[in-house]
Amino acid sequence: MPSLLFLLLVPLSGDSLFSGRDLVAGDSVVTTTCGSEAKDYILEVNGGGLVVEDFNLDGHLDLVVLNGSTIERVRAEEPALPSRLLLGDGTGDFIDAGAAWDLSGGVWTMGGSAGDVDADGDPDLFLTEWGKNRLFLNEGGLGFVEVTEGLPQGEGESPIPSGLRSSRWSTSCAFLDYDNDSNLDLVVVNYLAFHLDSVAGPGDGCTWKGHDVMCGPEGMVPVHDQLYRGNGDGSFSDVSLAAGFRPDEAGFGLGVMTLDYDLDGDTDIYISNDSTPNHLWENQGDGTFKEVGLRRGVSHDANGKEQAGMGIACGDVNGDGREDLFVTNFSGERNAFYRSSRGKGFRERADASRLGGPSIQRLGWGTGLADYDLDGEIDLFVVNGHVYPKADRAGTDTSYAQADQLFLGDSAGGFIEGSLDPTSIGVSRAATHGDFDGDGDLDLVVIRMGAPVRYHENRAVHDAEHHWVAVQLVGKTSHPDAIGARVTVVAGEREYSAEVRSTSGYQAGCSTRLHIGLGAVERVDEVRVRWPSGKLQIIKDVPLDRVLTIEEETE
Amino acid sequence: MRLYFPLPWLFVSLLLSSPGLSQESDVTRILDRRPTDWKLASPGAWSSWNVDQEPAEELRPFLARAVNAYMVGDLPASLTALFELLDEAPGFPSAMHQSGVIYFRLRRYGDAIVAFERYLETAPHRVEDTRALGHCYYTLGDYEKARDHYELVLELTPDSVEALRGYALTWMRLGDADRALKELRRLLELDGGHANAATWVAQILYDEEQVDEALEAALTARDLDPYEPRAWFLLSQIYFELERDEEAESANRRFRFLSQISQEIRAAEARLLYDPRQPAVYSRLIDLNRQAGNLMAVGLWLNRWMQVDPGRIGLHMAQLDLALEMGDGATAERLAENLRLKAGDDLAAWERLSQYYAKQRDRIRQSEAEAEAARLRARPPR
Repeated sequence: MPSLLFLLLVPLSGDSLFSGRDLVAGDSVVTTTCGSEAKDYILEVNGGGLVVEDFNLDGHLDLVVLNGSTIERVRAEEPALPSRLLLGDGTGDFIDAGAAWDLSGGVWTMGGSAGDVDADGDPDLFLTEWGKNRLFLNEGGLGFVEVTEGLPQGEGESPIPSGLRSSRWSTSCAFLDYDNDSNLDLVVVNYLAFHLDSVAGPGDGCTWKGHDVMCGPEGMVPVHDQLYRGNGDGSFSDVSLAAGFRPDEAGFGLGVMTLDYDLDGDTDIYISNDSTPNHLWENQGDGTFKEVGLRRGVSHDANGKEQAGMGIACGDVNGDGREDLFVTNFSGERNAFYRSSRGKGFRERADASRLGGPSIQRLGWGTGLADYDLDGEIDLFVVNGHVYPKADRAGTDTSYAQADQLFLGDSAGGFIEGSLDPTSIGVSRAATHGDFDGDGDLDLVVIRMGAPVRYHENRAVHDAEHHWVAVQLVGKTSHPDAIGARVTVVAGEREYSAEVRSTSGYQAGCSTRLHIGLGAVERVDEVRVRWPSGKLQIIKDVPLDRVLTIEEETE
Repeated sequence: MRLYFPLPWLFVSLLLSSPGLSQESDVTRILDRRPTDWKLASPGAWSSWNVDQEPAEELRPFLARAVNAYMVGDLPASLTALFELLDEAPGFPSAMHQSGVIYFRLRRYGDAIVAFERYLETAPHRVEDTRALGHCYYTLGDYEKARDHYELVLELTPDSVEALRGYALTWMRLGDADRALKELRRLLELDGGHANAATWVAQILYDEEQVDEALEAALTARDLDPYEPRAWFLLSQIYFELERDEEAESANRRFRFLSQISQEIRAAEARLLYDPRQPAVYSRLIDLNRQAGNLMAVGLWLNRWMQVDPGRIGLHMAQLDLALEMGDGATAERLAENLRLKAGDDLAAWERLSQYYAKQRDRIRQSEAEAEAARLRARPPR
């Protein structure tokens, strides 16, 4: 007889917006590995990562699936299991990109992000690792070349160091242009100091709800995050200290989001920390940052308790023109929904938005805020799975495998819980979205521990009640990726806004193409773009249900 | 420790004085079991049961073990006895209820729900015993069920402060701030010193962006319980919003200090849930509460420690010192007498008593204590 808890955690029945299936590339099912099934060490629980972008420049979104390793491989000094680029054909099908796009190497790959580091018109790729992070340059849509050790220069010239040879345990990362100098900068989130030879392991007395479990992060040493400034030649300089990007106490960093939370025209950084306060880094506009998480009400839960921050989603749910933040947390905690308040701060409003209760028995990871059903209201997905296989034991009030959730937004700023994947539960981790099949709605990809990667095809209705517009910005004075640009779509009385970014919050990178659901509008009156350069550009008479490419005006 | 057992109180008192505390419980075994394992009672088996009815003779040894283990904080041992009892007498309502209480204290809310719901199936007229069922639904995020259950409890016990608190908070979680405030204010009329309710009033006002009113409410909450970190946290948030940075930083420092201690206390308490025989954990809890300045809690943990280790003379001395520190002369006198009776050959105890009686100007007892101390000092070292 199934336990009561199992019954509580299986997906809800009924029609689902998404149709889930195992991700296939060519003839092979795509899987990732992150340690053993027993999960004896904390290194084995984060799962792999995902990055979405059009790497081969064919107009279709591609997908990088990042792979981990095993403790045995690490002890044998073998490299990480190979990560792969899967080329999308625009229908939702993928093929392995082949040897030209080789991503092998590394020690234990975690997450990544895409950005045109050398501003040559193609997306490059940065990968985070337990071990040395890695940078790959895109060779004109034909393949990757790893340049972590040195960026190639002209004939006869020596390569210059990338400046990214950090060997901490990095989890999430994001490209941005914090100083608006048109060069991509990079923020790298770090977790903790983990040395396999000295770390506490199985049987070292770590318990959870009376069960022996792997140790950490409590009792381990958190590691500071890093901010890199792009030098304009594809290399980076670590400016963490000079930019004041160094809190009094490091956190166990897992997730990252870039946003202009105070609408002052520069990009701020929000970092979710496991079991330590989350950080909101306010860009001071002079190349430095100030940590204001507590001051703005996004560091703790409403009780003043630091939570186990994992993934982050960002979007303007309440339509006030300011971004709201959603953070996934541990089982027994509520996921946090920090809604922008009348001042510069936020209020934690998960319960009032009907997001709190449904999260308590789950452990959330990847998450996203977007209008998935195209009704003009922002929706939310959360993918879940516990860190302890012993969560299936009696009395834990949770389980190891869990249902992923889809919350459909309503016009009052609340959400209604539904199922993301009615046919399957799993131990989910990183997740991201993109319109892989080119049908005008956002599909999802989810990493699952010890199981195939899940692909969720969005089956949103496309009719007069469900419109959308996608916007691809091309910076000219600004960096070509236009990260940090803010787009506002005006349709009748309503305004929809979104910000260009390269991160999906937890160990995943998203495309810089914005996708905005409009609902039952008859036309788009105008699209306003505030570029990172500060320029405001307005485009009138925009067609519905189209991808709009907007180049930055230079005059 | 509060004990509510749906049994005649006189009977429970007899159980408490009876021997029968089990040895080290088989913690792992009992924690792997669940109330869904309980055998079902035959239909109508307990239809005539009521709370004033004495249990059958053959059930009493199990109940004695369960009650005694519970009183010393050995929750797994108590649960073991209750499972054995329920094997013997499937559906025995008191045992199901007490199992629910233990699961609740072990933070196994799903199991507590099963236990309480089974209890209510057997004794539907005893809703007032199941306030904790509302807490369980609430803790697991099922706010509609929690609200509905609290309503049932409050129909029967309208002045139950804890049920009212839970009821108010479910309204808050369901997004009805006005109703939550109304219920919290009703609670504060019943118990004006309820710091937690006062903090929630402040929190709701803050969430609703009524910042000036929230400040006033938060200051009230802080004054009601200055050791509770939440009020300080809320104050720091409010002051930051009002751009009163110095006060915000000061409140935040106090919050961080209390919060760190509070987290350590919670972690230590959690360790005791599964094994109450850990002197080092009690010692740490006493130390932490002393750091926070919460002498009431120091006394509580000294009592809890003594329940599992009644022969430790040092605890009696610590209790005496605490009573004196709190200026409670009557309790100190009672504790000194208790220490005198238990001191035996403990030199430190007699020395401490000598000091105490000297301060009380009780020359006779002082001389007696000094004589005992001298006798023990004169003994050849072992």
